[in-house]
Amino acid sequence: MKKIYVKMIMVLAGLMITGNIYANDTVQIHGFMSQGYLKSDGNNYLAESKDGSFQFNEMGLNFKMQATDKLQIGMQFFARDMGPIGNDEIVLDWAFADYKFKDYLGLRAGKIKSPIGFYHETRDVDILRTSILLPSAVYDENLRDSANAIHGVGIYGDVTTDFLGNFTYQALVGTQNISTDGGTAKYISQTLFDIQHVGLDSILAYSLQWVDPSSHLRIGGTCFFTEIEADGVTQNKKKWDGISGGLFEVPEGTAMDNRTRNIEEYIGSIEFTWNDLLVAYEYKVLKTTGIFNIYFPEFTITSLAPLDILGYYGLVSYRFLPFFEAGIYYGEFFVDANDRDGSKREVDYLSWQKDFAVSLKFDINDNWIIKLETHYFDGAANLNLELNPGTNAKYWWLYAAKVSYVF
Amino acid sequence: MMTRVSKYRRTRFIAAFFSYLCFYFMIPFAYAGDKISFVANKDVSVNSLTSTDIKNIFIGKKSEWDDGRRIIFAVLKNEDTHVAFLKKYIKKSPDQFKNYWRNMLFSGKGMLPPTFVTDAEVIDFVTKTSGAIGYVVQGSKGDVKVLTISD
Repeated sequence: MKKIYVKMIMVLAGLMITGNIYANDTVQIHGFMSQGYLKSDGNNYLAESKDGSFQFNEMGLNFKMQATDKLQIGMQFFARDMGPIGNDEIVLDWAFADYKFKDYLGLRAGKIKSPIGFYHETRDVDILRTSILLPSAVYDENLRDSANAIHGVGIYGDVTTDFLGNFTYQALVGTQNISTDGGTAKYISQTLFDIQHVGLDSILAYSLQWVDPSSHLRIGGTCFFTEIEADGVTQNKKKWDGISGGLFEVPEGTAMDNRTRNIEEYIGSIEFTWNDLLVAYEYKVLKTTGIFNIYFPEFTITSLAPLDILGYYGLVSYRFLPFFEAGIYYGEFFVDANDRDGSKREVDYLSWQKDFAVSLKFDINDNWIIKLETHYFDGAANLNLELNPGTNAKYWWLYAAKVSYVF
Repeated sequence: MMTRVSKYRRTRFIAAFFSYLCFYFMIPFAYAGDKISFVANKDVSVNSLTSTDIKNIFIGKKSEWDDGRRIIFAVLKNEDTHVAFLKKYIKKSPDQFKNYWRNMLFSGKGMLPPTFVTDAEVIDFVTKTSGAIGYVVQGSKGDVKVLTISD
């Protein structure tokens, strides 16, 4: 895999240096690459950011071909490093055949990007947005691997009218392979148990968007349904005692599993653009029922944890100059929508994460950009526990910088 | 005396600020006055299109002509004509339009449109490509069909 990674870097570097990009109306090769830096106080975010971290990069190589008038095929390879996640291993980001019978009906088959909110499908491509980090209230980096794409089939289409604007729909069914060292596995394990197997059940995803006739307003909704199964053994006694309230003594290495049932994610989105102004708002509800089983020799302990996760944010960005735009957003995330003030928890601020961000984007040219960003957080919910053992800070800052290239 | 000077300055500042706003929001309408022609390959069966058709073609929502032939559209990257075209028909800035197509590309939903720097290059591409359409400065000559906009 390392050899493939090196080859991918060499191909990208070669294309960047020579500018020899192959693109016509039948076959196209494009790509992107970004390298960032994270620095924070109080808590580690995505990487060991308290010490400053360069483990924050993404790259992709994209092939697309118009095979016939109605058929397009393509694929994208992707690698990223985000602290303990990714480690620059190359994965197939998406690869599918797309047959368009008519504008109102098309068929896709293969590995297809999941429609989640307005911005998930291109979250890998840093150059396309003002901010470095998408608002975590809706776009959770921890679960990106399980939400990324669906192996399956889908239908899509556009219905355009003069007076009612444009409607775009998409429906997908399939599944997704995730690894035991991916973000979702780490999120489920919470450092409590070593996951030896993790998998997603069938996935259903729907999206519907409407753009008004003047093309200034876009409103949409997406739904995502699946279930996750994880098996493993308890990691160590001390941590498990903490989470179980000291009721059970669970020896290290005891078999356990997690069945996260009925995962239902709903996102409502609205976006308004006027000249160089963009205003957006998204609202997410994620409903899950987590079932933990711990298998003792003589008996089994089962605990049930129904959870409604809630997140929303508002964003404004504006291009002040041809080479400069700035944006701000504010988002709130709650681990449990029914306990927003954290009164059910021992440490209340572990139940929320409120994020205020200011972003600056400088376009050096059509291909190169530089971004700077500052976040002020209130709350420590949803942090990677592997990166944040012990006590977490309630109020903390994060600074990010990123250089990106696209061709 | 000081109060009167201060009020005068404030009034002047407010007037300047609103003048700037008026100028800023008038820019799109000023650009929209530029003359653009839509040219198509001679095998294209239609002779006129609506503004909505133009918008849908150039954002990939209308991908075939009435006879089922695939639409291939060319983008002219000449600054003034491109800005005027986008403001009037697509309602996007050049940056938004560029990122719209990059979004389509990197999500796998589309390919980048062929892009040219001069009117002559667009006309040459449209002339040689079946089902092609492009926009050029009005009056540009070539072996192409000039489409009328019916609204």
